[in-house]
Amino acid sequence: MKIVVCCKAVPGSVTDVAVGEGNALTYRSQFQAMNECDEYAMEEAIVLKRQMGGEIIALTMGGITTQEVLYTAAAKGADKIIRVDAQVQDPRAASKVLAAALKKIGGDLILTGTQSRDSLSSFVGVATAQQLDVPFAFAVTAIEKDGDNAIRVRKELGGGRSADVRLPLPALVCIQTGIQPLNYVPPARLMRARQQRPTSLSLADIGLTQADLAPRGYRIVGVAPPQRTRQAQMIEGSPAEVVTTLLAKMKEVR
Amino acid sequence: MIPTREVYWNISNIWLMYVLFVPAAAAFLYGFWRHFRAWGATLPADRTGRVGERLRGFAKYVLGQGRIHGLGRPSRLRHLYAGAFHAFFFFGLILLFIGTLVVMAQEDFGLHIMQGTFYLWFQSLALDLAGLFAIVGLCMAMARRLFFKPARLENTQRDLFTAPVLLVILLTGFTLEGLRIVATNDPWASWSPVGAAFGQGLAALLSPESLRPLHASLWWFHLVTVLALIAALPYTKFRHVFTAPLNIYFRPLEARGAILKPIDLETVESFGVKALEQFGFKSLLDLDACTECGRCQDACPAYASGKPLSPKKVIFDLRDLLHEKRDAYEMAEAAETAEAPPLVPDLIGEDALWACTTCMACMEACPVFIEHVPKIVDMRRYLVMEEGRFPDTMQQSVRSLESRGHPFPGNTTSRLEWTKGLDVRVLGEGESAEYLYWVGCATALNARNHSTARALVEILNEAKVEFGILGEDEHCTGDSARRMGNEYLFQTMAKQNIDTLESRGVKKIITTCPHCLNSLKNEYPAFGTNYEVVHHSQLLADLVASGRYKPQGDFNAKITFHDSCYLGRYNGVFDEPREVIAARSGTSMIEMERHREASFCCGAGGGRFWMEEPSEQRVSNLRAQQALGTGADVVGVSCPFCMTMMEEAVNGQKGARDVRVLDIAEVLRGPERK
Ligand code: SF4
Ligand code: SF4
Repeated sequence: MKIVVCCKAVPGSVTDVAVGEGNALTYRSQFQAMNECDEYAMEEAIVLKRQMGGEIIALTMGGITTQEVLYTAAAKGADKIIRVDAQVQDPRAASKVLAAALKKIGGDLILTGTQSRDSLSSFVGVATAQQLDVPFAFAVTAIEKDGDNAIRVRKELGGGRSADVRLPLPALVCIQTGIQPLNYVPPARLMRARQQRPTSLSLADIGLTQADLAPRGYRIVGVAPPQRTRQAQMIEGSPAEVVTTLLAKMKEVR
Repeated sequence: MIPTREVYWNISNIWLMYVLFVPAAAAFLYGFWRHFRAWGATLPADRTGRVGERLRGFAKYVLGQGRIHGLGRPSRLRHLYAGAFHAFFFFGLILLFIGTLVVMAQEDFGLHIMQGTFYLWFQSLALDLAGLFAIVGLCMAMARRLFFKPARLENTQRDLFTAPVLLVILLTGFTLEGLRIVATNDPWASWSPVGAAFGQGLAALLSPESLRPLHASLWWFHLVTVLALIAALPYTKFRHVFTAPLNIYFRPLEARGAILKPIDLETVESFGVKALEQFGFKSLLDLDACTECGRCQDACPAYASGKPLSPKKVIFDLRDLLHEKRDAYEMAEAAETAEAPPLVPDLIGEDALWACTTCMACMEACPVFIEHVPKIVDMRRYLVMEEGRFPDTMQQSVRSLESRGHPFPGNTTSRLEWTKGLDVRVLGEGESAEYLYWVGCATALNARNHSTARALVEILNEAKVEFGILGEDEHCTGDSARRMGNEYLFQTMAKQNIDTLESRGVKKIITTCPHCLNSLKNEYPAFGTNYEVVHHSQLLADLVASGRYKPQGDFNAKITFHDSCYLGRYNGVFDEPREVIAARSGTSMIEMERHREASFCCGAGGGRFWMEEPSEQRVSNLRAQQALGTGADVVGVSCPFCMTMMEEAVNGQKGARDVRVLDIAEVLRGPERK
């Protein structure tokens, strides 16, 4: 089985965030890491490969610095690492690029996370599946093989309910966090992984032009730091007093 | 008549002595040769230079027995009884050994020195007393083992054998001397008072004609016992007679805080220590130098709090493995194949390995300068760097370091939050100030420590010290990453920080965190830096002494001061925080028993800050008990990690008492001002 894992490079902490030219966010960040949801997808891919054999391809897009996440993927166990050289923030454009790249790469099973830490839109995975015209499942917590050409997945429906779904391959699955424990990448393996050269695809290689990346229907109006509401109250006093106040508060809320 | 005595009086066939000497010497040499071979041949360069300093240390710690008695050190590190008995037999046996050399010079090299005043004063009187002191020392040591053994000592069969053998040698020596004195009616008997007393006693018990035959047979018995002891030396813990002085000579001379050596990430093929053979010469010599005194275990906070770590046991276990391996095959060959089972968890449990706070109490206590901490970190390095195997909660902290540049998972506080309403300059690229105040993550991101930073900044402003901070561009120094064994992450952080510091032309740094201090001052220079780094306690002590800052108002409090490991034991800063506290009028100081070099960790170091632990196993609770036990109203600290640990533990245990934990800057500025 050929498994492609889409992993996004996200900034760790950012400062000086602003809306810049071309409706893009600008910020300073010294740290880049693999988006945590995608890391779960990567861990699941490793487990699937162990069970069914095949190969794992890690795919990302962005400037040269995003290669860092590919090294992490390789250190975790990706066999091939590919970067599409395109700077995209708009989720719709991102799905377009990914779909085009995936068409070129091929793959039986495409894994993504459910959302990225920076834009939190949960859009790209599903939109990519639609453009590839393959079946998909969102917020998946378990995958198993079902015959030669299909998988069975358990997906969360919200409210604590879940459903088992059968997907014929090729298919795209958005992995829910916690599907596998995250393994810490030993630095020695990371350093060895750095010896590899990622394959780099240009927009032309996947049949797109810069014009395809223009954001449509999605505009960043402004950015603001989260408001601290200071709603937390510290209850003071003896244990008995604390409990009394606490009970009163609970009644109030109900 | 010239005072002297006949050597080998009453002994015939003296050639037999030389014959017997050969196998003893062979066993002795073979035993030590095997040790040497096992340690490996190469001494690292940093252990061979600075010969003068090494010799001075040798004089102080071997001849002067500096760390055995611990005179001049805090009471926890003073061992008067053990120091006395050790000195008694150490010097006693050395003198007796010199006496034997004199005999050899006389008999085998024809130097006729054993006569006249020298004979009377040295060869008779001094050696007589040396023997007496050695016997007293041995009896004191045996009495301790038998009747009031400290828990840190274990009685092994070998211990029960060696001391009595030495005693037998000394007693037979005196008996021989006594027999000779009586039988020859020695005119200088009064110069050998102990021997003469033995002689008189024996003369009263024995018939005159039995003296000579008894003397002859006892002489051979004495000789054989001595030779047997010599032969056995390398095979018992008494090997420390040779290995301990060697170990002291090769002791680390760099600053305590620079003892973890950087790994060359570009060239090294495997990281850390997986198997015993990967330890270098000095680490293996350490194992054979151990005197089994147990003082490291006694000092260890992890052990005291019931965790499965004892630094003594780490050394014992590694040593036993070393001996097993050395007996089984050549270490050198094994180093190449290195397919041995891993040390962790096969020999040393992961729980034990991760229990270490890297507090250095063990190394401070060890009389022979054994280096426990670098070994523990080397084993951690293997687990983390090669296998990514370390406790979950530490992993979260490391992930946060990697992705956000600070070790507090989930913390989204801005690094500038504490500066609100204060006059603090944030240095951008290309801007500089006389001092850089390196705030540190634990101070900037933890609300409780904000008032420490604020107090310091207010004092600096009042004293007109020109300084700036890095604001959001400051990131963790990597201290805890390094101690968790993640050398790669440490070096990544270090290089990034050095770039930031260079871009501000930084020369002088103030830190509030002793961990930051240690990295910036002792560890970054390995990457080409040369900053003058001071802890705020040092700067504050200076400002007060020079009158640039005048504390205002009284603060009536009994204060006990908790020495941070990384400020005290690591960087030798003990006086300044106390000076700062004393500078505030109204305060009085009460020391805990474990203070200064003997201080007891708060439990946060070595990555332990991020470990969950049940309350009864918390080092901080033990320390809080010690602090509360002094009756102080204020527990002074000088480290943001100590602050968190101590405040939580003190609050949990103080009951109805009003006890506060304060940083020394808060004490100086006035804790009432916010
Ligand atoms: S450094 Fe401290 S915690 Fe670690 S073994 Fe030594 S005494 Fe124990
Ligand atoms: S390591 Fe040092 S302190 Fe510990 S038992 Fe051995 S000699 Fe004593």
